[in-house]
Amino acid sequence: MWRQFATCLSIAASSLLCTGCWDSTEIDRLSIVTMTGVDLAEDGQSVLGSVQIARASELGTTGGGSPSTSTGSAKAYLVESAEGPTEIEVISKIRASLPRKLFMGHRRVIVIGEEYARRGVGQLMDEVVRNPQSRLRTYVVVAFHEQAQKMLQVPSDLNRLPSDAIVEMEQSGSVLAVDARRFAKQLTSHSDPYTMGIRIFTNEMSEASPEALTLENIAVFRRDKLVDWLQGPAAKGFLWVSKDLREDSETVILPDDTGKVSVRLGSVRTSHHVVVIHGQPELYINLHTIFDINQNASRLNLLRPSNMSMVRQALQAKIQSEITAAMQQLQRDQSDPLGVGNELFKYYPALWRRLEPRWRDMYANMPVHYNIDVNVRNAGLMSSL
Amino acid sequence: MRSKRVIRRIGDWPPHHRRMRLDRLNEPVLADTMAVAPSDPPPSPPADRLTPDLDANIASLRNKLQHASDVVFRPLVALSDKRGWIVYVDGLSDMELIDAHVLESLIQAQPQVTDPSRPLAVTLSEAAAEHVTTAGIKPVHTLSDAVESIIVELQVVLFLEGSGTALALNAGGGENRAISEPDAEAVVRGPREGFNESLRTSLTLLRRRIRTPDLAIETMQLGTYTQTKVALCYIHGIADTEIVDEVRTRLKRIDTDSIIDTGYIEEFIEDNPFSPFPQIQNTERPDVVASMLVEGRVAILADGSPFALIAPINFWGALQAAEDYYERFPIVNLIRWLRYLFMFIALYLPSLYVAITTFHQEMLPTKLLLSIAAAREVTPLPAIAECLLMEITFEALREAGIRLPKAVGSAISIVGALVIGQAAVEAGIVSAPMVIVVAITGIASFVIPRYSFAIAIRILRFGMILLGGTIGLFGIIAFTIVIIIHLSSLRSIGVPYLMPVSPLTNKNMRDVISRPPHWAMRWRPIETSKPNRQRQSNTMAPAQRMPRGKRRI
Repeated sequence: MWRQFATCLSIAASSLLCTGCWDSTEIDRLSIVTMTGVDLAEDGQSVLGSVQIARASELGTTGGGSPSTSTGSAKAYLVESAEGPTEIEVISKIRASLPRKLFMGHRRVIVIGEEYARRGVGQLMDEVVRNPQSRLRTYVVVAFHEQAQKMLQVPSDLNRLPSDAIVEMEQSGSVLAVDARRFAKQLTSHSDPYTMGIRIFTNEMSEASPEALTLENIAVFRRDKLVDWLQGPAAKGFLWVSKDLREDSETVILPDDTGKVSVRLGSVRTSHHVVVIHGQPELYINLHTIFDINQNASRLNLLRPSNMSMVRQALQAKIQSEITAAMQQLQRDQSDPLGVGNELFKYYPALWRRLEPRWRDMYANMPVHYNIDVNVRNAGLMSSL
Repeated sequence: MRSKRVIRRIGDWPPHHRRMRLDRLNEPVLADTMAVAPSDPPPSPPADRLTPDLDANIASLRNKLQHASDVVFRPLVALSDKRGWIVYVDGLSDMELIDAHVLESLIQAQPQVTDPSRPLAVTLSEAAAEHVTTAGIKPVHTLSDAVESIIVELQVVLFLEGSGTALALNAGGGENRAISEPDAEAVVRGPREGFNESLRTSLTLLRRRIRTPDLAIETMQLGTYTQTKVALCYIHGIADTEIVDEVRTRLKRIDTDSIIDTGYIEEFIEDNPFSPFPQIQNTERPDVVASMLVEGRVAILADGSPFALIAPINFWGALQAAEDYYERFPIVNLIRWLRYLFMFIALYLPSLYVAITTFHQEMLPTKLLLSIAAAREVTPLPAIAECLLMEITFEALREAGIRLPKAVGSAISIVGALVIGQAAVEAGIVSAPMVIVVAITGIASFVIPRYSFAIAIRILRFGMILLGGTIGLFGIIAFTIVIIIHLSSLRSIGVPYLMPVSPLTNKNMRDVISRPPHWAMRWRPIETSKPNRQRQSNTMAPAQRMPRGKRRI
């Protein structure tokens, strides 16, 4: 017994001779990166990288008192930038300029500058996927007509860290929540990636900060290069098809000057599939939606089925025009974010091998069929007025 | 020295059958009613025997007891003409009892008128015995027995002229602590009695709860100087004889000068003395002992200690409080699961905090990480040092709180709350999340009902912190594996400590993962009640007592 004890003790004691706790890093020696941005440097070749670092000392309560910074203050974070030939090089340059270790484990948003995105994001995604610290649940957004670096500096009115604000917008259910995993998956399949655009908008009404970030427009890629933006109705149309829409409200103007009706999205089921007819692929898009009446600002009594069907038709026409706009623009851009090519590859592999060399042209001329089914519920008590 | 282990496999066990043995308790007529002295005294040398010469007897007794000045020698004249002495220890006998039932009856007694229909009392001492009106009387034939009766049994010994036999009379009394509620094992609902330091009283409490002749109480004296009376209790026909024999053997093997508390016995008989986990339970509650006995376990009580020992026990019992079986079962189930949760918290929380904040920061939600980072911004010590500092301080506070007189006790809580809690955080020595972690851990360790088990968890927690702080989650998992290996090799009186989980016995699993209603606990634990497994009939289940279609009144 004592011999065993002595053995254990001597082994334990000898481990004291080993220095250090190998991987341990105290939290206060980390600079926690919450958001990164990549841009093309002015020379058009090298990378301009920016990191947004949370200033822990300015967050939370350190002295037991109230938070030392007010919400929306620019002090809660710090933006550092550097230029270099590759993204890794940029990160090590930034690291060298900081006293603390850069910790990427909590990066929540990657902002890609438009110029950089047009040149291609392949090498960036490679780094993101390879980096063991990097989370694949990091959201990827593209700065709309802007440098990513600028986006990192815009404070948020409600959140102390702008990255939190972006994450909350992404999770709201009314935009495309594209994270690095989804982006990389589409990049490596036979479809094209897409993601949300991020834009600075000037808010004249706000007292705290005139500038704010918003997620708007959809960046459409062809392979790893940004080719076009879906805006307005086209962006909405793409949202309908992409299965990302969970929360939405629509207002339709009814014909014959009867007024407007606002509806809220209850549920939506989307599917699309490819049918090959005479060796030619054709795309079918099916959409089943259920709306609840939110507000009836028309003169119609919605308890009448005929009036209800008028609302239904108006909604259907609106959705169809939006989806058509989106599909037409995507076919014009020869970009396939819906993954039609991938579906062909999966279900008609032989056909895919034959079509692959001229797939982009075929895609541009592919017929698209729409089957849009709209249901409206909750005619409501007030409708009979 | 390694104690012999009873190694049994379930397959070896014979089929269960119920045994009722009403003829077990064949106690002698003139014996202590509570404690049964089993065997005859060994033949003594003739020099030790009492002689009919009273003065010689008293002289040699005085010689033997010359160092014990608290022994009272009182002369008297009994049965109207016989000289005699009574000898007893001052303060440990009930003086009123001696006055009324010994002295008065003997002094006032008249010689018996011989009744032809009835045989004469054969000896003088038997004649005296007929007059003495105390309950327990035992004849004593030798000087050393007389000394033992006086000093060890605390009896009053009556010597009479012309008789070679003295009488040891039970006049037990003296001062005892009143029966009170045990502080360490308080209940909201349930009996509020606790054992006290007198073995007689403790056994009374036990006998009151188990009124069957099958309740076996074996007494023995341990400790060459203290001669402490130790009682081994079990229920015949339920307890596994192999276990009882093993406990008895281990008790008999004890050869030491003193047994001051049952804690001494525990260390002498436990299976693995080096394990942090207690393999024998101690309790002050007679109801706990009674319920353990009817499960087939064995209890050991000792004079001078209010704590009874219970063996064999298992790991899971540590998380079951006495009250679990007095309160309604749905409530108890929730509380029991809460205890399981808090046992894990008590063991793991500080080490997980240290490991995650120093090695695996990516495991925390971002906002939590940022708050912790904000709090740690000003603290000078690394997380592991901070954690050990706080944990050790907490243990010291707890220890100080136990020993302090009640008047000073509140001062400690003020010092603890203000100095450790508030000032340390405000001064930036310790971060606020660490204080929260240590506080939750402290609470969690008090949730565990069995105190000695909670201490084991505390000890292991420090190992966890050290490993978690040096090699991260890897260390925590490695240490957990070591603990599980240790637990599965541990035995309590030969019974696997993790029973019924390992080896898995389905019938008894219910009482581990939940607290089934009483009507559903049909079987006793298999590991202890081999001869008699069935606790009750199954007619109490709701389906049986509330038939469908009939009106329930």
